[in-house]
Amino acid sequence: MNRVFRELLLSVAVFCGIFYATLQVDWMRVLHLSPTIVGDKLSEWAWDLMSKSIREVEADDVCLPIDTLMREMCLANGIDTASVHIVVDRTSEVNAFATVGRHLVIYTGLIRQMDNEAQLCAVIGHEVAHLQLGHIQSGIRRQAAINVILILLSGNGSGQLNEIIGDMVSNSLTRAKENEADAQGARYLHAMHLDPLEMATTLEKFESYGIFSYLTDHDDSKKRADRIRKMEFSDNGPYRQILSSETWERLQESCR
Amino acid sequence: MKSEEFGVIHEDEKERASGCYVMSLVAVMIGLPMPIINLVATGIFYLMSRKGTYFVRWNSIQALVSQVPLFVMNNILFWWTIRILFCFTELSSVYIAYFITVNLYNIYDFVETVRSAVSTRKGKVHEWYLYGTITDMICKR
Ligand SMILES: [Zn+2]
Repeated sequence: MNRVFRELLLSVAVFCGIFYATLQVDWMRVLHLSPTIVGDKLSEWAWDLMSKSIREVEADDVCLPIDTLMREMCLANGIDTASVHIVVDRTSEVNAFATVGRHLVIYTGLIRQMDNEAQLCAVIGHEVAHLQLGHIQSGIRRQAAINVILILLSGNGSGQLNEIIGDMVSNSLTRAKENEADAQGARYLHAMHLDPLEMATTLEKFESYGIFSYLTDHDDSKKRADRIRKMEFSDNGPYRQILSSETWERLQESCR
Repeated sequence: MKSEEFGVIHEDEKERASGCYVMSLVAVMIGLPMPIINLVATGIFYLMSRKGTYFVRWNSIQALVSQVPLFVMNNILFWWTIRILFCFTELSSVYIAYFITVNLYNIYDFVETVRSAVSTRKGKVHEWYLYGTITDMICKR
Protein backbone atom coordinates (compact mmCIF):
# COMPACT_ATOMS: atom_id res chain seq x y z
CA MET A 1 0.00 0.00 0.00
CA ASN A 2 2.79 2.32 1.01
CA ARG A 3 4.64 1.53 -2.14
CA VAL A 4 1.64 2.29 -4.30
CA PHE A 5 1.22 5.60 -2.55
CA ARG A 6 4.89 6.49 -2.97
CA GLU A 7 4.89 5.58 -6.63
CA LEU A 8 1.63 7.37 -7.24
CA LEU A 9 2.99 10.52 -5.65
CA LEU A 10 6.13 10.38 -7.77
CA SER A 11 4.15 9.75 -10.96
CA VAL A 12 1.82 12.64 -10.30
CA ALA A 13 4.81 14.83 -9.47
CA VAL A 14 6.56 13.90 -12.72
CA PHE A 15 3.40 14.54 -14.73
CA CYS A 16 2.79 17.90 -13.07
CA GLY A 17 6.46 18.75 -13.43
CA ILE A 18 6.38 18.18 -17.18
CA PHE A 19 3.10 20.07 -17.47
CA TYR A 20 4.56 22.92 -15.42
CA ALA A 21 7.67 22.99 -17.59
CA THR A 22 5.64 23.15 -20.82
CA LEU A 23 3.52 25.89 -19.28
CA GLN A 24 6.60 28.11 -19.01
CA VAL A 25 6.67 28.60 -22.77
CA ASP A 26 4.40 31.16 -24.37
CA TRP A 27 3.37 28.78 -27.12
CA MET A 28 0.96 31.20 -28.73
CA ARG A 29 3.79 33.65 -29.35
CA VAL A 30 6.33 31.00 -30.31
CA LEU A 31 3.96 29.46 -32.84
CA HIS A 32 2.54 32.82 -33.96
CA LEU A 33 -1.03 31.86 -33.14
CA SER A 34 -3.88 34.12 -32.18
CA PRO A 35 -6.41 32.96 -29.56
CA THR A 36 -9.28 33.29 -32.00
CA ILE A 37 -7.51 31.52 -34.86
CA VAL A 38 -9.91 28.56 -34.91
CA GLY A 39 -13.00 30.75 -35.04
CA ASP A 40 -11.40 32.99 -37.64
CA LYS A 41 -10.46 30.08 -39.86
CA LEU A 42 -13.90 28.53 -39.52
CA SER A 43 -15.55 31.85 -40.30
CA GLU A 44 -13.37 32.23 -43.37
CA TRP A 45 -14.28 28.72 -44.38
CA ALA A 46 -17.98 29.28 -43.82
CA TRP A 47 -17.75 32.45 -45.85
CA ASP A 48 -15.91 30.67 -48.68
CA LEU A 49 -18.66 28.05 -48.85
CA MET A 50 -21.34 30.67 -48.57
CA SER A 51 -19.91 33.07 -51.13
CA LYS A 52 -20.07 30.39 -53.81
CA SER A 53 -23.80 30.95 -54.06
CA ILE A 54 -23.44 34.73 -54.21
CA ARG A 55 -23.61 36.33 -57.63
CA GLU A 56 -21.30 39.16 -56.79
CA VAL A 57 -21.77 42.36 -58.76
CA GLU A 58 -18.41 43.71 -59.85
CA ALA A 59 -19.50 46.56 -62.11
CA ASP A 60 -17.90 49.90 -61.22
CA ASP A 61 -21.26 51.62 -61.40
CA VAL A 62 -22.29 49.60 -58.38
CA CYS A 63 -19.07 48.99 -56.48
CA LEU A 64 -17.61 52.48 -56.59
CA PRO A 65 -20.59 54.35 -55.11
CA ILE A 66 -21.06 51.68 -52.44
CA ASP A 67 -17.38 51.84 -51.56
CA THR A 68 -17.59 55.62 -51.39
CA LEU A 69 -20.52 55.52 -48.97
CA MET A 70 -18.86 52.83 -46.93
CA ARG A 71 -15.62 54.80 -46.72
CA GLU A 72 -17.43 57.96 -45.71
CA MET A 73 -19.24 56.11 -42.97
CA CYS A 74 -16.10 54.46 -41.66
CA LEU A 75 -14.08 57.67 -41.73
CA ALA A 76 -16.77 59.67 -39.93
CA ASN A 77 -17.13 57.02 -37.24
CA GLY A 78 -13.57 55.84 -36.72
CA ILE A 79 -14.14 52.38 -38.15
CA ASP A 80 -11.35 50.61 -39.99
CA THR A 81 -12.59 50.59 -43.59
CA ALA A 82 -10.49 47.57 -44.50
CA SER A 83 -12.05 45.49 -41.74
CA VAL A 84 -15.52 45.44 -43.28
CA HIS A 85 -16.02 43.56 -46.53
CA ILE A 86 -19.07 44.57 -48.46
CA VAL A 87 -20.50 42.45 -51.27
CA VAL A 88 -23.40 43.24 -53.60
CA ASP A 89 -25.35 40.17 -54.61
CA ARG A 90 -27.41 40.23 -57.79
CA THR A 91 -30.83 38.95 -56.83
CA SER A 92 -34.34 40.32 -56.90
CA GLU A 93 -34.80 39.60 -53.20
CA VAL A 94 -34.92 42.61 -50.92
CA ASN A 95 -32.43 42.02 -48.14
CA ALA A 96 -29.11 42.89 -46.56
CA PHE A 97 -27.27 41.20 -43.75
CA ALA A 98 -24.04 41.09 -41.83
CA THR A 99 -22.41 37.73 -41.47
CA VAL A 100 -19.30 35.80 -40.42
CA GLY A 101 -15.86 37.22 -41.08
CA ARG A 102 -17.15 40.82 -41.00
CA HIS A 103 -18.79 40.41 -44.39
CA LEU A 104 -21.80 42.45 -45.33
CA VAL A 105 -24.08 41.33 -48.14
CA ILE A 106 -26.51 43.67 -49.89
CA TYR A 107 -28.94 42.45 -52.52
CA THR A 108 -29.44 44.49 -55.68
CA GLY A 109 -33.17 44.06 -55.10
CA LEU A 110 -32.86 46.22 -52.00
CA ILE A 111 -30.78 48.93 -53.64
CA ARG A 112 -33.35 49.17 -56.41
CA GLN A 113 -36.08 50.00 -53.88
CA MET A 114 -34.13 52.79 -52.21
CA ASP A 115 -35.22 56.40 -52.54
CA ASN A 116 -31.84 57.93 -51.79
CA GLU A 117 -28.31 57.30 -50.59
CA ALA A 118 -29.23 58.05 -46.98
CA GLN A 119 -31.54 55.03 -46.95
CA LEU A 120 -28.80 52.87 -48.37
CA CYS A 121 -26.48 54.23 -45.68
CA ALA A 122 -29.14 53.49 -43.05
CA VAL A 123 -29.19 49.83 -44.07
CA ILE A 124 -25.41 49.63 -44.24
CA GLY A 125 -25.16 51.51 -40.95
CA HIS A 126 -27.52 49.12 -39.21
CA GLU A 127 -25.53 46.10 -40.38
CA VAL A 128 -22.14 47.68 -39.66
CA ALA A 129 -23.49 48.48 -36.18
CA HIS A 130 -24.18 44.77 -35.66
CA LEU A 131 -20.55 44.08 -36.56
CA GLN A 132 -19.15 46.91 -34.46
CA LEU A 133 -21.27 46.08 -31.43
CA GLY A 134 -20.04 42.50 -31.55
CA HIS A 135 -23.45 41.01 -32.30
CA ILE A 136 -22.05 38.66 -34.96
CA GLN A 137 -19.54 37.18 -32.58
CA SER A 138 -18.80 33.80 -31.11
CA GLY A 139 -22.43 32.67 -31.08
CA ILE A 140 -22.68 32.89 -34.82
CA ARG A 141 -19.24 31.50 -35.34
CA ARG A 142 -20.06 28.54 -33.13
CA GLN A 143 -23.16 27.79 -35.15
CA ALA A 144 -21.27 28.41 -38.37
CA ALA A 145 -18.63 25.95 -37.22
CA ILE A 146 -21.23 23.31 -36.43
CA ASN A 147 -22.91 23.86 -39.77
CA VAL A 148 -19.69 23.82 -41.76
CA ILE A 149 -18.84 20.50 -40.17
CA LEU A 150 -22.33 19.14 -40.79
CA ILE A 151 -22.24 20.26 -44.40
CA LEU A 152 -18.79 18.79 -44.94
CA LEU A 153 -19.97 15.52 -43.44
CA SER A 154 -23.13 15.38 -45.50
CA GLY A 155 -21.52 16.81 -48.63
CA ASN A 156 -24.37 19.23 -49.15
CA GLY A 157 -24.26 22.27 -51.38
CA SER A 158 -23.33 25.77 -50.42
CA GLY A 159 -26.67 27.34 -51.24
CA GLN A 160 -28.13 25.86 -48.13
CA LEU A 161 -25.32 27.18 -46.01
CA ASN A 162 -26.09 30.64 -47.23
CA GLU A 163 -29.64 30.32 -46.00
CA ILE A 164 -28.73 28.56 -42.79
CA ILE A 165 -26.18 31.17 -41.80
CA GLY A 166 -28.52 33.95 -42.84
CA ASP A 167 -31.25 32.51 -40.62
CA MET A 168 -28.87 31.93 -37.78
CA VAL A 169 -27.66 35.49 -37.85
CA SER A 170 -31.17 36.89 -37.74
CA ASN A 171 -32.38 34.39 -35.18
CA SER A 172 -29.54 35.05 -32.82
CA LEU A 173 -30.17 38.79 -32.89
CA THR A 174 -32.51 39.73 -30.12
CA ARG A 175 -34.91 42.62 -30.22
CA ALA A 176 -32.62 44.53 -27.87
CA LYS A 177 -29.69 44.06 -30.21
CA GLU A 178 -31.78 45.23 -33.16
CA ASN A 179 -32.68 48.39 -31.26
CA GLU A 180 -29.04 48.96 -30.41
CA ALA A 181 -28.09 48.54 -34.05
CA ASP A 182 -30.83 50.94 -35.14
CA ALA A 183 -29.62 53.61 -32.73
CA GLN A 184 -25.96 53.09 -33.54
CA GLY A 185 -26.74 53.14 -37.27
CA ALA A 186 -28.61 56.44 -36.86
CA ARG A 187 -25.59 57.85 -35.06
CA TYR A 188 -23.40 56.76 -37.95
CA LEU A 189 -25.67 58.63 -40.36
CA HIS A 190 -25.54 61.71 -38.18
CA ALA A 191 -21.76 61.61 -37.95
CA MET A 192 -21.44 61.50 -41.72
CA HIS A 193 -23.78 64.48 -42.07
CA LEU A 194 -26.76 62.55 -43.33
CA ASP A 195 -30.24 62.80 -41.87
CA PRO A 196 -30.39 60.26 -39.00
CA LEU A 197 -34.17 60.20 -39.32
CA GLU A 198 -33.72 58.37 -42.61
CA MET A 199 -33.10 55.39 -40.36
CA ALA A 200 -36.68 55.66 -39.14
CA THR A 201 -38.01 56.13 -42.67
CA THR A 202 -36.06 53.13 -43.87
CA LEU A 203 -37.32 50.97 -41.01
CA GLU A 204 -40.90 51.75 -41.99
CA LYS A 205 -40.34 51.56 -45.71
CA PHE A 206 -38.87 48.09 -45.61
CA GLU A 207 -40.86 46.66 -42.75
CA SER A 208 -42.64 44.19 -44.98
CA TYR A 209 -39.36 42.71 -46.16
CA GLY A 210 -38.03 42.11 -42.68
CA ILE A 211 -34.56 43.19 -43.65
CA PHE A 212 -33.65 44.62 -40.29
CA SER A 213 -34.44 41.45 -38.46
CA TYR A 214 -36.00 38.21 -39.37
CA LEU A 215 -39.38 38.61 -37.80
CA THR A 216 -40.66 42.13 -38.01
CA ASP A 217 -44.27 43.02 -37.88
CA HIS A 218 -45.82 46.38 -38.47
CA ASP A 219 -46.05 47.27 -34.79
CA ASP A 220 -42.47 46.47 -34.24
CA SER A 221 -41.13 48.63 -37.07
CA LYS A 222 -43.36 51.49 -35.94
CA LYS A 223 -41.93 51.28 -32.44
CA ARG A 224 -38.41 51.04 -33.72
CA ALA A 225 -38.91 54.03 -35.99
CA ASP A 226 -40.39 56.04 -33.11
CA ARG A 227 -37.44 55.17 -30.94
CA ILE A 228 -35.13 56.69 -33.55
CA ARG A 229 -37.32 59.79 -33.83
CA LYS A 230 -37.08 60.27 -30.06
CA MET A 231 -33.29 60.21 -30.15
CA GLU A 232 -31.52 63.50 -29.71
CA PHE A 233 -28.95 64.56 -32.22
CA SER A 234 -26.75 67.61 -32.00
CA ASP A 235 -27.13 70.03 -34.84
CA ASN A 236 -24.40 69.37 -37.33
CA GLY A 237 -25.33 71.55 -40.18
CA PRO A 238 -27.12 71.06 -43.44
CA TYR A 239 -27.27 67.44 -44.53
CA ARG A 240 -25.24 66.75 -47.56
CA GLN A 241 -25.37 64.57 -50.59
CA ILE A 242 -22.39 62.29 -50.98
CA LEU A 243 -23.00 60.83 -54.42
CA SER A 244 -23.92 62.94 -57.40
CA SER A 245 -27.44 62.43 -58.75
CA GLU A 246 -26.05 60.78 -61.88
CA THR A 247 -23.96 58.32 -59.86
CA TRP A 248 -27.01 57.41 -57.79
CA GLU A 249 -29.12 56.98 -60.92
CA ARG A 250 -26.50 54.79 -62.52
CA LEU A 251 -26.22 52.70 -59.35
CA GLN A 252 -29.97 52.11 -59.33
CA GLU A 253 -30.01 51.46 -63.05
CA SER A 254 -27.29 48.81 -62.68
CA CYS A 255 -29.28 47.08 -59.96
CA ARG A 256 -32.28 46.61 -62.15
CA MET B 1 12.68 -10.83 -10.98
CA LYS B 2 8.90 -10.98 -11.23
CA SER B 3 8.61 -13.75 -13.82
CA GLU B 4 9.56 -16.58 -11.46
CA GLU B 5 6.38 -16.08 -9.44
CA PHE B 6 4.31 -17.18 -12.39
CA GLY B 7 5.87 -20.63 -12.68
CA VAL B 8 5.74 -22.45 -15.99
CA ILE B 9 3.89 -20.49 -18.63
CA HIS B 10 2.26 -22.17 -21.59
CA GLU B 11 2.58 -20.93 -25.11
CA ASP B 12 -1.13 -20.03 -25.44
CA GLU B 13 -0.95 -18.08 -22.17
CA LYS B 14 1.87 -15.98 -23.58
CA GLU B 15 -0.21 -15.34 -26.63
CA ARG B 16 -3.28 -14.31 -24.68
CA ALA B 17 -1.36 -12.06 -22.28
CA SER B 18 0.44 -10.42 -25.16
CA GLY B 19 -2.92 -10.04 -26.89
CA CYS B 20 -4.13 -7.79 -24.07
CA TYR B 21 -1.39 -5.28 -24.81
CA VAL B 22 -1.80 -5.51 -28.56
CA MET B 23 -5.50 -4.97 -28.00
CA SER B 24 -4.88 -1.87 -25.94
CA LEU B 25 -2.47 -0.58 -28.59
CA VAL B 26 -5.02 -1.04 -31.34
CA ALA B 27 -7.61 0.57 -29.11
CA VAL B 28 -5.35 3.57 -28.53
CA MET B 29 -4.98 4.09 -32.25
CA ILE B 30 -8.66 3.70 -33.04
CA GLY B 31 -9.63 5.46 -29.85
CA LEU B 32 -7.46 8.55 -30.16
CA PRO B 33 -10.34 10.77 -31.22
CA MET B 34 -12.75 9.05 -28.84
CA PRO B 35 -10.83 7.87 -25.76
CA ILE B 36 -13.78 5.94 -24.32
CA ILE B 37 -13.34 3.27 -27.02
CA ASN B 38 -9.92 2.66 -25.57
CA LEU B 39 -11.09 1.89 -22.10
CA VAL B 40 -14.07 -0.14 -23.23
CA ALA B 41 -11.93 -2.31 -25.53
CA THR B 42 -9.38 -3.07 -22.83
CA GLY B 43 -12.19 -3.63 -20.35
CA ILE B 44 -13.83 -6.18 -22.65
CA PHE B 45 -10.52 -7.93 -23.11
CA TYR B 46 -10.05 -8.05 -19.36
CA LEU B 47 -13.48 -9.63 -18.90
CA MET B 48 -12.62 -12.20 -21.53
CA SER B 49 -9.35 -13.09 -19.81
CA ARG B 50 -10.77 -13.11 -16.30
CA LYS B 51 -10.99 -16.87 -16.18
CA GLY B 52 -7.45 -17.28 -17.49
CA THR B 53 -4.36 -18.26 -15.52
CA TYR B 54 -2.63 -15.93 -13.08
CA PHE B 55 -0.18 -14.86 -15.80
CA VAL B 56 -2.95 -13.92 -18.23
CA ARG B 57 -5.03 -12.19 -15.57
CA TRP B 58 -2.09 -10.24 -14.19
CA ASN B 59 -1.16 -8.87 -17.59
CA SER B 60 -4.69 -8.06 -18.64
CA ILE B 61 -5.18 -6.14 -15.39
CA GLN B 62 -1.96 -4.22 -15.92
CA ALA B 63 -3.12 -3.37 -19.45
CA LEU B 64 -6.45 -2.18 -18.05
CA VAL B 65 -4.99 -0.20 -15.15
CA SER B 66 -2.56 1.60 -17.44
CA GLN B 67 -5.48 2.69 -19.60
CA VAL B 68 -7.34 4.49 -16.83
CA PRO B 69 -5.14 7.61 -16.42
CA LEU B 70 -4.66 7.67 -20.17
CA PHE B 71 -8.43 7.63 -20.58
CA VAL B 72 -8.89 10.54 -18.18
CA MET B 73 -6.14 12.66 -19.76
CA ASN B 74 -7.14 11.96 -23.35
CA ASN B 75 -10.75 12.63 -22.51
CA ILE B 76 -9.95 16.05 -21.09
CA LEU B 77 -7.85 16.77 -24.17
CA PHE B 78 -10.63 15.57 -26.45
CA TRP B 79 -13.35 17.74 -24.94
CA TRP B 80 -11.03 20.69 -24.64
CA THR B 81 -10.28 20.35 -28.36
CA ILE B 82 -13.98 20.11 -29.18
CA ARG B 83 -14.65 23.24 -27.15
CA ILE B 84 -11.98 25.12 -29.09
CA LEU B 85 -13.22 23.81 -32.43
CA PHE B 86 -16.73 24.99 -31.67
CA CYS B 87 -15.53 28.33 -30.34
CA PHE B 88 -16.75 27.81 -26.77
CA THR B 89 -13.27 28.72 -25.64
CA GLU B 90 -10.14 30.13 -27.20
CA LEU B 91 -6.87 28.51 -28.13
CA SER B 92 -4.29 29.19 -25.42
CA SER B 93 -0.73 28.38 -24.40
CA VAL B 94 -2.15 26.32 -21.53
CA TYR B 95 -3.98 24.12 -24.02
CA ILE B 96 -0.83 23.64 -26.08
CA ALA B 97 1.18 22.84 -22.94
CA TYR B 98 -1.42 20.27 -21.91
CA PHE B 99 -1.50 18.88 -25.44
CA ILE B 100 2.27 18.35 -25.38
CA THR B 101 2.26 16.82 -21.90
CA VAL B 102 -0.55 14.41 -22.69
CA ASN B 103 1.11 13.43 -25.94
CA LEU B 104 4.37 12.72 -24.14
CA TYR B 105 2.41 10.55 -21.75
CA ASN B 106 0.79 8.78 -24.70
CA ILE B 107 4.21 8.07 -26.15
CA TYR B 108 5.43 6.72 -22.81
CA ASP B 109 2.35 4.54 -22.59
CA PHE B 110 2.87 3.35 -26.16
CA VAL B 111 6.49 2.36 -25.53
CA GLU B 112 5.62 0.54 -22.32
CA THR B 113 2.75 -1.28 -23.99
CA VAL B 114 4.98 -2.48 -26.83
CA ARG B 115 7.61 -3.61 -24.35
CA SER B 116 4.95 -5.52 -22.39
CA ALA B 117 3.53 -7.11 -25.50
CA VAL B 118 6.99 -8.28 -26.56
CA SER B 119 8.08 -9.60 -23.16
CA THR B 120 4.84 -11.43 -22.43
CA ARG B 121 5.20 -13.10 -25.80
CA LYS B 122 8.54 -14.39 -24.49
CA GLY B 123 6.88 -15.51 -21.28
CA LYS B 124 8.37 -12.70 -19.22
CA VAL B 125 6.59 -10.00 -17.30
CA HIS B 126 7.32 -6.38 -17.89
CA GLU B 127 6.25 -4.60 -14.75
CA TRP B 128 5.41 -0.92 -15.19
CA TYR B 129 6.24 1.65 -12.61
CA LEU B 130 3.18 2.22 -10.39
CA TYR B 131 0.77 0.19 -12.56
CA GLY B 132 2.66 -3.04 -11.85
CA THR B 133 2.44 -2.29 -8.14
CA ILE B 134 -1.28 -1.56 -8.34
CA THR B 135 -1.80 -4.73 -10.37
CA ASP B 136 0.00 -6.75 -7.68
CA MET B 137 -2.43 -5.31 -5.19
CA ILE B 138 -5.55 -6.06 -7.23
CA CYS B 139 -4.64 -9.35 -8.83
CA LYS B 140 -4.77 -12.27 -6.45
CA ARG B 141 -3.36 -15.61 -7.35
ZN1 LIG C 1 -30.38 43.82 -37.59
